[in-house]
Amino acid sequence: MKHKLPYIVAIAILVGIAMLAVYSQSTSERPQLSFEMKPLRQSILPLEPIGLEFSIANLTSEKLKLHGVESLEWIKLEVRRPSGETFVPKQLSNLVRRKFASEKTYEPGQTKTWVEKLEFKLNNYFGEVGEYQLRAKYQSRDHLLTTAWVTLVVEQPEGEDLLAYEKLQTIPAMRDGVLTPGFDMSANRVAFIEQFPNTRYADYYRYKMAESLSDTDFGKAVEYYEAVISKPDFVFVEDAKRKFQELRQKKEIEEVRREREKRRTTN
Amino acid sequence: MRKFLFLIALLAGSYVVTQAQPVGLFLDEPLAEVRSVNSTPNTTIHYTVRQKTGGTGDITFATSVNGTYSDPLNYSITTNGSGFGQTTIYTKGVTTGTATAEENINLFPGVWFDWNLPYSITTISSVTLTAINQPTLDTNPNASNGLRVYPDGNGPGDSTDRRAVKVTATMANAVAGIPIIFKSFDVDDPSAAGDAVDPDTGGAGSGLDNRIASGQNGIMQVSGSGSTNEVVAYTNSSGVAEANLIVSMHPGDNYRVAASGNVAALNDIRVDGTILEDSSNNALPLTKVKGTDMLTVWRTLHLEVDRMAAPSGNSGWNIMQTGWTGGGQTIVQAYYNTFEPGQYENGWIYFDGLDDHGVSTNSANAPYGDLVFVQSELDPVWAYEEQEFTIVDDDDYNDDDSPNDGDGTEAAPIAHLDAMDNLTSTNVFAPAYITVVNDGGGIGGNNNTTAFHVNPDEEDLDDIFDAKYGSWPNGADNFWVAYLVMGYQGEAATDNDPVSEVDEELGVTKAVADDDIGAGCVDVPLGGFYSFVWQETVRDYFVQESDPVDDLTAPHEIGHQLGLEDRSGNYLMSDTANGFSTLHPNDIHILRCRTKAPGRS
Repeated sequence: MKHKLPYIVAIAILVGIAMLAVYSQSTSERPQLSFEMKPLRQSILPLEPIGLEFSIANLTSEKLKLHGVESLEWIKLEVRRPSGETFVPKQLSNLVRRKFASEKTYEPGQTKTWVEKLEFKLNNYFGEVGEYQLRAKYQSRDHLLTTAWVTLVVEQPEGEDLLAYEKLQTIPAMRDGVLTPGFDMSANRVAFIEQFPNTRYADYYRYKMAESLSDTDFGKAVEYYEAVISKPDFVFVEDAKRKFQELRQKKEIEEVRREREKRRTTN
Repeated sequence: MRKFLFLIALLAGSYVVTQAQPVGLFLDEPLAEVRSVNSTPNTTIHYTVRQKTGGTGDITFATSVNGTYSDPLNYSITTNGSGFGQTTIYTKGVTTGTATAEENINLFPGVWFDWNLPYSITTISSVTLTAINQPTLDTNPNASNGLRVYPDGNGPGDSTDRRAVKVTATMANAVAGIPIIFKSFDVDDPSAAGDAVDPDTGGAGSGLDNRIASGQNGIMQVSGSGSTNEVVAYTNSSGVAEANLIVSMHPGDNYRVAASGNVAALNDIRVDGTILEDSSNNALPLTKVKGTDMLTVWRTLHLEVDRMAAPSGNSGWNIMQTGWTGGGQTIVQAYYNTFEPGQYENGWIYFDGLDDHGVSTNSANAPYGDLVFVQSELDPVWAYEEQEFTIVDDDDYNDDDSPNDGDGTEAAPIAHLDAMDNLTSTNVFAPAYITVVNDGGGIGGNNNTTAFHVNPDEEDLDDIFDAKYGSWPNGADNFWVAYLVMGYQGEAATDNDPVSEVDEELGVTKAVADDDIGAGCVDVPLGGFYSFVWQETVRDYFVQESDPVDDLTAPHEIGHQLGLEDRSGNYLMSDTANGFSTLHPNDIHILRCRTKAPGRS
């Protein structure tokens, strides 16, 4: 027994080291942050803006720091087309912004969620009808987070939607949203809405018209906003509601102010 | 090739040779000269040609171009059945100077006829580059120096092709008629090898890295003719030969031209890094071959800089319903719920017809009206009830207001553009061989005032582009224009009001951009239409960060207009403001691939 003791001690040490190794491996593989993405709508029409909801969650019981920008500029999408081809869109928005990336604190268990809308190069990226697989990567200064693959279906437009889609394909400036000097975007949007009033495409241009007119034509802007805020499936519906509310409030205050001014003048 | 005609009257034995001016011989380059004879049919006549004594140079002769050259040279001509015969004699100048040849015909052995066939043997003393349609060729300030050329148009709508640069070869002796071959080369990019800027695909220092798709070596022309990188021009009576080098429109494409009258010597020239040398590694200038300085293409970006009008409506308005005082402050309850929570942090409140006070912050209190936290006790508080008030935040982009007043009478200051100033050493686009000029986009005095928006959205920015980008029509392949607006703030969520907002937006650009287009220049991004620098947010942010100057947001945005996408890392195009002004090699490559004006396909 006396002679066996060193062997027992050695074996115990080895087992201890092995267990420590297994534990540390499982610890290091345990993710600290989760990153998820889901489309606001599972299926869309080609050229229809795509809403994507992102969320980052702190899975630990400690505060975590994330140095990055929770916006589209810091996200890379990986897209698998219906044909099986995988590509990474180079740019997701036609506005490129210079921001200061702040360090964000994620409290234990905290989840931050935000929504992004893709409306750039849709004809290039999602122009094909069929089932797409998407996943996103978020590269902050200190973390690389990757979502699981999610499915997005681009449906074949039918009926009036099909006619509207075909029309859009003939007007690249409208379809791509790229500035084209000399092209009267506003007139084209109005004409499109009048020609295809009941299409999903028309709602997008109504929303754009509402945004465009909010400083100059309150009545028309309200009309356009009202046409889309009742459509829960419209990808910009929450933005439209907020902007509509802000616009009405601004108008209401302006009227109060004007009325008081008038009263003061009369007195 | 010079031709001699021996008119032999068999009995009279008289000779006629026309030779007035000295013939130029380029050093060591054979000159073919045809000897013709009309004589008895089917007869062989023997001749000897040799250099006369005197002169300062030496010449030798041969019966074939690659044959053995000697002095004297015996040769013969056999006439045909009609009595005509001819041969070609090759004369080569061995040393520079002047020399004269004389010939003997064996009909009169021992008699040397004083034909006075004078030669001037010469070589090139210099090859230089001069501007043709450009103002000047000045010193290239980038690595390896040399000269630079701006092939851009000299103004909007300029249709003159300004790509040609004159190449002048001057002989050591003023001799006319010497054929001089001009050959242009794409020398290696002078930057460090191995990245997107200088991939060195042909081996270290191999050149052929100009961005133009074809004709990388440049095109040499004489009188508008020529489609390759070689052309022949003849010296004039001053001993000068001239040709034109046609450069590309790609910034950073670089060239050298070698010139010689000696074909073999010129064919032996190759690129080694940014220099030209022969196969024995002897760099130009050589006795028989001279070369130009390196010539590098630069492009000019003409910038139109507009600014937003003085702020209007950069304030909130409300009516005080009630308030509570205590502890040195007052909580004001307003009637309407309209303010962005925290927006008026460190701002100022002006009560109509009463007085004004500092504000610590504000918050929403739905469904009731907003709350404003005033930094003093309103006394008596009931006197303020039902009073209208205007409230401003801490915006003060001239940093000169006390108390803050919403910048109501001040137009946006022009951002620091020093980082794009080619007159200083800080031009951030210099590594891509681009000069930025703030000249109204080519229109003098073209500095417009745009509509003011406190927190504009994309539609507002598009409207400003449509209404105010006056120099947009000037944009062309040979005239690049870009549009920069000194704006106030971006969207409300990122304008740093309150300072607890994260991800402050310092500028925005509408553009199609890329951060990696791979090798070649196939997928050059379209670039963009407009850029806005948010002057108030920039000031606010940099004051907050104790950094007095931000001179990189404007060039960062202009980088987007030139087609550059955000990237991670310590670069000018970093997706976050981090103070670095360096262009990533991929960005330099993209910029150097550009020939179109930003936003043009």
